[in-house]
Amino acid sequence: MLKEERLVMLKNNIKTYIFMFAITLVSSLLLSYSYSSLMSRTEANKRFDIRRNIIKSVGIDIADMSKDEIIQNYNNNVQEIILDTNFNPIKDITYDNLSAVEDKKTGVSYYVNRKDKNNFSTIENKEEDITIKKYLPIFYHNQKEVFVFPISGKGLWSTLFGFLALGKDKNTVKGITFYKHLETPGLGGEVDKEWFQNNFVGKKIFNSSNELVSIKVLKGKSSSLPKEEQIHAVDGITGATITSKGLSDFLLSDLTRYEIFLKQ
Amino acid sequence: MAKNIFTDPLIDDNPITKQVLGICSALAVTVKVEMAVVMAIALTIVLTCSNLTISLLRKQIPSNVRIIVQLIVIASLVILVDLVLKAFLYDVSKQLSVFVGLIITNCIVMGRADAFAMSNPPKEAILDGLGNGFGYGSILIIVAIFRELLGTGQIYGTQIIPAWVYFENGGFYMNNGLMLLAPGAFIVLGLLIWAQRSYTGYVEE
Repeated sequence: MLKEERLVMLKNNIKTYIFMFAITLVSSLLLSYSYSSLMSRTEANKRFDIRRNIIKSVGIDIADMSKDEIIQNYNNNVQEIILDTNFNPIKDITYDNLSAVEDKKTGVSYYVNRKDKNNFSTIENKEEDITIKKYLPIFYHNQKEVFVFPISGKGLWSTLFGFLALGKDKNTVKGITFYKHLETPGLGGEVDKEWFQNNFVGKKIFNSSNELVSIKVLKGKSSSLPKEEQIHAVDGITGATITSKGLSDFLLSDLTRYEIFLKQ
Repeated sequence: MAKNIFTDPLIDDNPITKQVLGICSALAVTVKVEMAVVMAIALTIVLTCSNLTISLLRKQIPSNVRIIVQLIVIASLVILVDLVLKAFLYDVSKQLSVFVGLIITNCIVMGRADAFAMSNPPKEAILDGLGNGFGYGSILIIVAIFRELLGTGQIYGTQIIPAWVYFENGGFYMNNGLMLLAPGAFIVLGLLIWAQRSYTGYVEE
């Protein structure tokens, strides 16, 4: 190879390096700047979305309510009860201090202190772990006298996050909502819809012998069941068998975590 | 000349029906018209901006790393759109979820960047981006109208098929669940491509 050719190649290579360095630097600066400047807005949106879903689950029609009205209703009426795993109320921690960490294998979410979030995420066996304190948040709506429990678990494609509201007998369902999931729109995504959520209202989670049976999402219609079982079941979603089954499973397991509180 | 750059991709050179690109997202987001509309807007913005950026940089981009540079530009823009949606249109971003991220892998964006923006000045590149974005978006919305109407009886969330014709209310009609699944989109899209090609007389060689 001629000396001049080599020189040209070297020049080209250097040009490529400089160009790549510049473009990666510019794009990463741009992205990190926009991420950090938009983060507070995004966080506020997420927080509001959770509050809106809590208010909706207690059975208040939020369709005509403005953002401020929803926040006001939340601030005036909702009392956050944070229990430790022995069901003792913790006073110095609020819901905003907590962070939900999902066990990717089982789809179960645990509430831990925000500060412990990173440590807890790396722990293999989250269920058995005792080094990090886990909490059980509950929301109580004073005016409607309703308890709201966070629920979450695996559907078909994703983990669903939502709330289940129980009346003051801690047995009758007042409402259910979902604020985060990636299920197929029109199939599993129907869990967002009024018709599906309304079916839960009035159902009971304890049977006549005071056993926690939760609510089953059926494959088909609940009217096909015997009368005494209808009160613990809702109609399934056509074409979304796995989402329905997942929902039944995690409703039971999440309510079981609160069982002692529910029987108090 | 400039006019053709914009109007050609709408029908004659449509990215979906003629070039058969971007099929993956066309299947995924056409269950509901609302999602199709937002996806169409998001893709048009990303496509136009990436075309503009690539076109401005086209004389500087070393040809041996051009695909990597295009990917960096496109990926940055997509993340930016996603961040903006999360901050300002939270409910929409929740519905679109993963599909915004999938714009990165949309062949139309890379295809236009490499085939057009690399060799044309910014003004034409913008027009090309808008034209292809609208061409893609219009097919998306047409497919979504059929799928939402036949699958759920609604268009843009409003009930179109009257409740009394449904089987459970004593009528004779049932929604076609197949339309909500990917095969439904394939069927609608296939029929659309057939209709368009018999209209324009285009034959694959």
